[in-house]
Parts: sequence; C-alpha cells; structure tokens
Amino acid sequence: MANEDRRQGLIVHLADLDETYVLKLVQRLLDEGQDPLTIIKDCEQAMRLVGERYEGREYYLSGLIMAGEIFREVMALVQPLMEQQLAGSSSGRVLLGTVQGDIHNIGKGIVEVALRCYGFTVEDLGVDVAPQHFLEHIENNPPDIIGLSGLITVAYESMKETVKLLREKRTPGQAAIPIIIGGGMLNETVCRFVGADFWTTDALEGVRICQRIMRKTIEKIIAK
Amino acid sequence: MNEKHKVVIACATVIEEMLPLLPPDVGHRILDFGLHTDPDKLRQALQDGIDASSGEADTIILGYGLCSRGVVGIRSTDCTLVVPRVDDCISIFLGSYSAYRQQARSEPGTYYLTKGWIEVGDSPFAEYERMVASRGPEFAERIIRLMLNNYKRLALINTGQYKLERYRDYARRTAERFGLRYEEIEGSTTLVKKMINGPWDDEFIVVQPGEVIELARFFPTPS
Repeated sequence: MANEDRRQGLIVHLADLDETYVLKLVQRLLDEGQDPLTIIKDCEQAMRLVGERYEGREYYLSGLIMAGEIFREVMALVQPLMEQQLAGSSSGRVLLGTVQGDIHNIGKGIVEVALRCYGFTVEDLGVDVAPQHFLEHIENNPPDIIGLSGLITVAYESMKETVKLLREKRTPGQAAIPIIIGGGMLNETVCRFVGADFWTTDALEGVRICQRIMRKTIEKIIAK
Repeated sequence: MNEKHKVVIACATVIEEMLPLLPPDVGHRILDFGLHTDPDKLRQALQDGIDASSGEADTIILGYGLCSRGVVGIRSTDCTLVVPRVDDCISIFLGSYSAYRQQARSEPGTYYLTKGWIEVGDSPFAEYERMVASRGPEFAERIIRLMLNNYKRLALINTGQYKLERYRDYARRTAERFGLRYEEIEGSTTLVKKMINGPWDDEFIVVQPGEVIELARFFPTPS
C-alpha cells in the first residue's frame, strides 16, 4: 500500500472508529519513519469527520467518546518520537484541572496527552478542583499557562470564581498567567463572562493556543 | 390582543412536570429533548418556537434553564420572555437553583434521572443498551465506564407528580448494574408553579420585547 493510501486509510478507519486497524497502522507508519506530525494532522482530519457524523446524528455520544479514546491512544504512540524530536526540552508548563462542581475529565485527558506530545510539562489537579486549591498550587509552583476544564453549566460560574481569585491574588508587578478554558459547551460569550484569556472546544486547538502563548512569552523575554 | 395570554415552550422532559399544573388557557409547545446536547440547534429551535408563538401570546414562558447557553441570544420582538434563572432542568425538578447548588456542591458526581429522562431514553444507560446491540457488550462496557468516570451516585428525583414505582425500579437496577449508589431525592413543584403563575421574582429572568437573553443575567452580581 502506498504511503498516501495508508494516510487516507488512517483517516477513514479512525472516522469509522476501527481502533485495532488504526493503532496497527499508526505503529507501522511510525516504524517506517513517517513524521508523527503528519499522523496527528491526519487524525485531526478524521476527528472532524467524526464531529460531522455526530452533528448529522449518524453517531451518538458514544461515537465521540470512542473517537477520543482512539485519538488519545494514537497520541500516546507518537509521543516518544515527538519527545525525541524535541530533544528533551520542555515547551512550557501547563496546569490543568476540572473546576469545582464538575467531574468530567475525558476531554481534559485528551488535552493532557496532546500537550505532552508537543513537549509541554503537564500537571493535572484532577476534577472538582476548588478555586483556592488552584491558587495554593500556583503560589507554590507557578505554571506558564493555566487550563480550566468544564463540561456542565455549573462550571461557568466556578471558572469565573477561579479566574477572579487567581487575578486578585496575583503578586503585584508579576505578569498574569494566561488562562485558557476548555470544554465541549464553551464559546466566546462564556469566555468573556468567565474573564479567561482564551477558550477552546478542541484539544489540538488548545495545544496551538499554548504554543502561541509560549512564543509570545519568549519574544517578551528576548525584547527585555 | 386585549387579554393577557401565556404560552409555554418547554423541553420534552420539563413539560412532563408542567402539564399537570398547566391551566387550560395556557398554550404549550414541546421541543425535542435531544436538543440539549447541541446549544446552537436548541437556540434555533427556541427562536423558531418563539417566533411562531408571538401571535398567540404576549408572554412566553421558557421551560428551560441556561442549558449549556442554548437560551443565550434569543429574543422576541413583541412578547415578554420569562425563563427561570437556573443552570438546567435539574433545578426546575428540585424546586430551586439553591436546592440544585446544594446537591451539586455536596456530590458533584451525580447522574440525575426523572420520569421524563427515563422515557425519552437519552441517557448513558439507554445509550449502553444501544451500544450492546450495535457494537457488542465489550465495547458498550468500555464506553459506559468512560462516560461514568467519577460518577458515584444515581439520583432519581421524585417530584410527586406521578407514580414512581416503574421508574424507581429502573433507576435502582441501573444504579446496581453500573456500580452507582442509588438515592431518591425529594423534588418540588415550587419552581414549576412559579413559572406558570408567578411571581417572577429573583428566581427568574424577565426579558422585555426586543431585548436579548444575555448570559450574565443568569449570574447576577451579588449586591
């Protein structure tokens, strides 16, 4: 099978939720020296197809969850190679947590694996994390970026409380740590309400936001 | 229009609780329960329902909460809109926003069921049955474990509006099957009654004709 056909096969079989086929194919592609970034790009295209099938009611929620699970497994397979490419240097430190009152963590789990793939050091505080707990953790161990996760509506208010507390208790003169909110039911309106800097409903988009933030941080340091 | 007319637009599960209390002169429209997973579609369906109802009434009561911001951005050009200031229908069934907050804070990993949800069949448990049929038991088991990760309790809300035996039996069996603690929570019709009859006080958002329902109105700044 030609390389292009294999790549197409990856997209089609991931969109069809054929886990065994996808994982075997990814391993083979990696063994043959395929660039892991190309594999991730193809998976992203497949995930878009899954989203379209869910919107078209061809898939139920279980389809979305299974696709996420396969995607997470693919990311775990490509991670060692990505780490080699990054030569052990950390892209930045991200603190994650599902906010108080919410216990959902599937999306957060996918983001965590994706961030690690791109060289970020990730610390996860778990679920139902109180604003005070975020604050205490940050005071002891400040990250470059904070990611607040939440799926249900209750999370909006908890995110707002958390952002408010972190901003209020910031050391004077210290730059604010960028805060991203992530979850399936977010948009720009919620982001403005919460007072966060960025929002996303997509794990890889979340990674790209983190990369942009880190580029800007480095530019600022160089400019000084 | 000389007389004041009210129309209710409600989700299929909420209307179950409203219908026994709805006076004959209050009209109603029912929207599909499945819309709750897609806020954009829910918003469009609500806006269509409001536009279609505007000739029939001067006040439209929405049997919804914030519902993943599905109600944010909707408006009526010539009717007053009334929507309970709650996260979603769980607060409506429990009788108030504070009752839900209390439950959510004390045990966030709770899956709530009511008669309506059981009958509509849009729950992880109903999806489990569909998955067993379409993809086999192994797949179904794996996905339901992911779906229910961090859930500890299954709570059946008893609003006192109907005989509960059948639903209680289903909820108990479901809890046992998936390793959740079963609990029956006392619901209340207080908020449903207020939705229909008023007073539309702090527990409600009242939006005048031409105004848009804004997200921030669900979370008023404490005075």
